[in-house]
Amino acid sequence: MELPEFHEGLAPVQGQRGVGYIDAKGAFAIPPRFQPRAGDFHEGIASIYVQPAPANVLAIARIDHSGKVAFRKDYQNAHPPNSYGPIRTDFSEGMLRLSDGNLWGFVDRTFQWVIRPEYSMVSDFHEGLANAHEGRAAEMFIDKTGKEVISLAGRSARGDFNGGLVAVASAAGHPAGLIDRIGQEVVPLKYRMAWSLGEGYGAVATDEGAALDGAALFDSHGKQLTQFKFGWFASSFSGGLLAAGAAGGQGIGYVDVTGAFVIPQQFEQALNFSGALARVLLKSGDFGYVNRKGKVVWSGGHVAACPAT
Amino acid sequence: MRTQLKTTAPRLLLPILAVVAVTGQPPSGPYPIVVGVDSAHGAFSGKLGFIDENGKIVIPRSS
Repeated sequence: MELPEFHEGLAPVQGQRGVGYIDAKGAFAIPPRFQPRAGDFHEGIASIYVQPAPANVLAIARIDHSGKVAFRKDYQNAHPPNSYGPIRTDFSEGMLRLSDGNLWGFVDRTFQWVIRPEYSMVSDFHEGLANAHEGRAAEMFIDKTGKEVISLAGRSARGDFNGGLVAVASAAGHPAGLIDRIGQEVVPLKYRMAWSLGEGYGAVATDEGAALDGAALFDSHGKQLTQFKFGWFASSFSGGLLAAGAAGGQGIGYVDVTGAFVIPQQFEQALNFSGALARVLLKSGDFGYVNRKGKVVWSGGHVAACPAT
Repeated sequence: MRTQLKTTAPRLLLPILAVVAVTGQPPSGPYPIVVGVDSAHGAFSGKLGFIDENGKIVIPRSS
């Protein structure tokens, strides 16, 4: 089960006649009428999938906060890419990636092409840059005019810019390191894996033969902040806290930017903080929410029946 | 921004970093919960609700 989340004051919830959007009081602000799926609001627009007759036509539409359809496109012989997963194609920094059926480009909020569809693959814009592929060989980061800002030249991005850093690796997958917004190697490409963790931090992992040893935190100047001691961490710092577990440890806690555990390793699993709370899986098997002081403010509902999102 | 919490104990071996798209703003409160789950026969009968940052249920029903 995928739990609905509030974005921009609205959360998609299944009603009797389809998916609608509730407000923070639980009332349907946009009546339930979208089938089969509806996504979260981002930058004032949510993506919905509509399955009109005939059944082999899939319409992808975008609605505004009033529920009004701002854009719609029908696709023949198409199905939602993942019937039960989230819809990930949303506006990001005012740009929406779209395909002309063959190649990918970007439209703005008026749904006019800003960057013509001439790339075999693109990612969303993050911090003003998007990863783009020309054919199989050339990979780069482009700005919002379509200008190539960083040529990856034989390297490949592992994720998006997050806190001024992005992980890159050789085409073979490793060695890996971190580069900044001008393409400079902040952490040299000599590690087994690398991740950008937001808020100006990243991590890289070493290996010992086939097995990965552990990961260490680095800052945006390439300074190593911790030993290679982490066996697990979440995707991003949030307000200076990162869910992490020590290699060989017995649980997940939260570390600050020095790598010190400020919330002990007491959880089976833990996600990033979203505002005041983070969702965690307790040792008891319940899922719950923890605040930034480490207090579990609510728990219940066996996660086996309810995998959290 | 969505990641599946796993029901098994974490494998404290890299790489199991959760890769989460950083599209738009992260979700905010109220925070979703599910209550009243009956998993005795593997069946799911939970009700969706929402809590505030103090853990108080603010939307108590499946809306």
